[in-house]
Amino acid sequence: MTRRYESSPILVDSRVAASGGANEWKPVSPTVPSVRARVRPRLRVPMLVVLLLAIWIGLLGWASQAPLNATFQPDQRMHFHGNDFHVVMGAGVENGGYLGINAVGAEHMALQSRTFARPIDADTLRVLRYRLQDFPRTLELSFVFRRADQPDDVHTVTLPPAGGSAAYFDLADVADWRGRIIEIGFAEFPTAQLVPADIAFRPFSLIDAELWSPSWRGSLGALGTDWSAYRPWALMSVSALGPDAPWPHKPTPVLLLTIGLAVSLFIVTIVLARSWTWLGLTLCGALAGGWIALDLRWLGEFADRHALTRELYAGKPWRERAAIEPDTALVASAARVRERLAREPANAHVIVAADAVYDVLRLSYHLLPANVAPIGALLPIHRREIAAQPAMLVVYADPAWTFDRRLRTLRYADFEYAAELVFEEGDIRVFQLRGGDP
Amino acid sequence: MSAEFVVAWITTLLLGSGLVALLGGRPRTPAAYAQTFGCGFVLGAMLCAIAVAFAGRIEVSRIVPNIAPILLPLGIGAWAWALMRSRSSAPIVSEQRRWHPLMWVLVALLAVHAWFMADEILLRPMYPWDAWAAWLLKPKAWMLAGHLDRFVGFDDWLADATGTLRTAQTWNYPEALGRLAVWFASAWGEWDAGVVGAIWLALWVALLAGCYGQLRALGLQRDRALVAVYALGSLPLINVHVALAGYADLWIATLIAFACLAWMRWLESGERGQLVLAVLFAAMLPLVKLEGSIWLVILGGTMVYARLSPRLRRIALLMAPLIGAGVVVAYLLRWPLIAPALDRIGLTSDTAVLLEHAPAVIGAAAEGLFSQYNWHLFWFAVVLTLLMRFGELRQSPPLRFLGLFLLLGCAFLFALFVLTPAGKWAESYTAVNRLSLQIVPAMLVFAALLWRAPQASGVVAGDDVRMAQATGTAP
Repeated sequence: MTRRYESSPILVDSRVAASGGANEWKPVSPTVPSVRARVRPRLRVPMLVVLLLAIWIGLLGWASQAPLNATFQPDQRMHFHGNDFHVVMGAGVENGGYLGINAVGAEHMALQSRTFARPIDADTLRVLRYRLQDFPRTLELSFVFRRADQPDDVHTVTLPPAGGSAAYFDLADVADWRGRIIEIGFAEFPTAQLVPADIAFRPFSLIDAELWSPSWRGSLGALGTDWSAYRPWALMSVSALGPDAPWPHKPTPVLLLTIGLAVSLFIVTIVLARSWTWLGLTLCGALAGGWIALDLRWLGEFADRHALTRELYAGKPWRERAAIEPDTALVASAARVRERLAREPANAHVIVAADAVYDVLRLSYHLLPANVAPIGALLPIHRREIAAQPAMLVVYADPAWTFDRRLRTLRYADFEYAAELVFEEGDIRVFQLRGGDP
Repeated sequence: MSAEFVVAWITTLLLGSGLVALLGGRPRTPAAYAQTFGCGFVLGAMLCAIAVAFAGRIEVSRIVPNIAPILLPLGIGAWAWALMRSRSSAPIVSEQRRWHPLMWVLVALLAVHAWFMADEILLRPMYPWDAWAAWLLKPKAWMLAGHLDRFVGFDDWLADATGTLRTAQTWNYPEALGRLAVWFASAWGEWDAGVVGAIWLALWVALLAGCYGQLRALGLQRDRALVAVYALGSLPLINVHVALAGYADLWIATLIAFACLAWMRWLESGERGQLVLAVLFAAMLPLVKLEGSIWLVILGGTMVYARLSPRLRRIALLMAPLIGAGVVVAYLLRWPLIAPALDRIGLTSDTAVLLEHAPAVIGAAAEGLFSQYNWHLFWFAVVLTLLMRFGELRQSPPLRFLGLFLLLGCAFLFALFVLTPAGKWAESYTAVNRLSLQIVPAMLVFAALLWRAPQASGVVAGDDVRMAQATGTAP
């Protein structure tokens, strides 16, 4: 029984089939003669080790985009304790060297910043190292900065979330990070289109932040952070994994593993004069190993994404979970409109308009079971039908629809409808369309 | 969980698996059971969806009580017929060798994938865009309104005074998935995203089971079949389509894979039941998604090509490039009928625009396939397999036909993204990976079959002289 497990169950049959014998393995394709013939046996292995090291270091350097002339450790570091930042939005309290953030401000956002009496040079300090404690998965983290040449413009870039261990970010990937920097900071807000804004916040602490000059350590750190940071679900996730995380990315381990394994094994084949069949089979084995490694990485990422789902929804009955939608405002507006529509005839047509397509479709979904339609197809030629059938127009957060109360006329671009305003609350307005020219 | 909900699941499973057993033969090995129930679930689900479509404007609470009494006896009858018909056959001895420990590791990893997906599905409300905006909007409307109202265009909807018609931005999309969702949701008694999403988890399990069973039936060794199934089940983008349930692409992918596998079995062993299954799965493609019609044409065309005599096949091989070139020339010269027809699918003859966008589109598509996290090392594995097992491909006409179908499928995707405005969906990494997903399971089983031991592949049925003749002219 033990013997059966001694060799790979996947590759052994190929070997048997190729060699034609049950227990013997002979290479069937010619070996690669070149280097083995020329290099002394004693030198082959050291040479191979050096070559492989050089390849993998080169690959890591390419993937991390480390400057070739950079030192391993950064020459310059600018360190800030958490309490060196001051709270601009939200509320915070100093806790030793940390800055504890315990409340958000307007629009569920928190912001901490640090201004510089003497501006810093963006080209010199291009790696951001940052640490946060208990940073919740419900929030998105951003780095904000202002430049001396545009003091009124705030530049923002999404950062990979960080935990207690340091995270790194390569500011060289941010086109706006240039010139003289007069202020830096961190902003936190509910993860868009994933977490309801009103329940997103949990307290956390900003431990510290550093700006580093270019170095291999910083670049490799940024690569490691990009590969391992928590990536929340996004609408993009069903289409592409990688671009669904909203920060600038480095080459993925998929590419690095493939290139690295293929080149390494090719060199091993050349240096040790193995056969092409050996190369092919070893590549298969390496590919299988690489696949498992990537799968374990993916399972870790999946577990991270799923942890947020559990945090938001676990232990709640369906009706409660169904109400925890990322678009809280739309859900609330839809509930109010549904109450209003309950007074309308059962065959009433409800047309939904909003500034953004997402809002139109989402509101249409939340308004069910009302007999809804998105605004897209409504044209002036439909006035007769609108006059014939009871039709309501629900307008959400779209000031382009203007209503003249005196003339009872609703206008949008070139369209003009006779209408009554029957409900208005916050961002939502409901009109009874009467069709025809007003 | 109500009895009605249990009946809905049992009906789906028994109906489909009964038909598969009837057409493919009574299962006698674990692999055959996996194939019967895997393919059977998908077939049964689609048949239930079709049955709901025939029910008209029925009350949702009456869907399962009205339909299950018809479908469930059919399923039981199919099983009874399949069992009775093969009673005299000698049982087939299944492989007794113990699994290699590595195989248990792979199974354990698949179980971890399944657990994450199941828990995500059961907890999270409908999340991805097209799930709530397109595919599951209709069943939710039906469930909450209480009737299966017909969806029509905006004009018809606005002119309707009865209030029994509905509309949506995607009113003309195929409704099979919506009707399948309402089949289970109505049995559950209320709209619950977890209940609906569970169909996608069942689809994933069915895809893996069906592929495993069919690969084994096609002669792939057990360990290799399991590796192939692990590879399929671990693909991240497929996991996402299950966990964030609601998109139609995985259904298309499963139907294509099952159609191809059944077709392969017919090509290799001449089992007529498998041909019927292949045709059934292929015919269901347009019921799921609009591009399903195109996949049906490509797959159907390849299946017909495989049945042509060698002479006709040679003629077809000669004619195809001429016809293709002729269409291109006719389009560029703006010939009537052809040019407007191609305009309608968004083809552009503006070569300057095409040339400007083509590199970005191809680059984005390649990035999606080879560099992002979507497919692990799948596409590299396909390339490596083709390099290493090209001899196997040359010796196996059925695999060459399957390869031809996949080649045509890739050509369709290339043309779609490079020659039409759909290229913007490639550049934005959106539709390009989802459309690639539709052929990934079929591509994977194709690659897996190239790893069969030599004696298992090739022409199996001694009486299929046509296939032997075909060797010289298969693509």
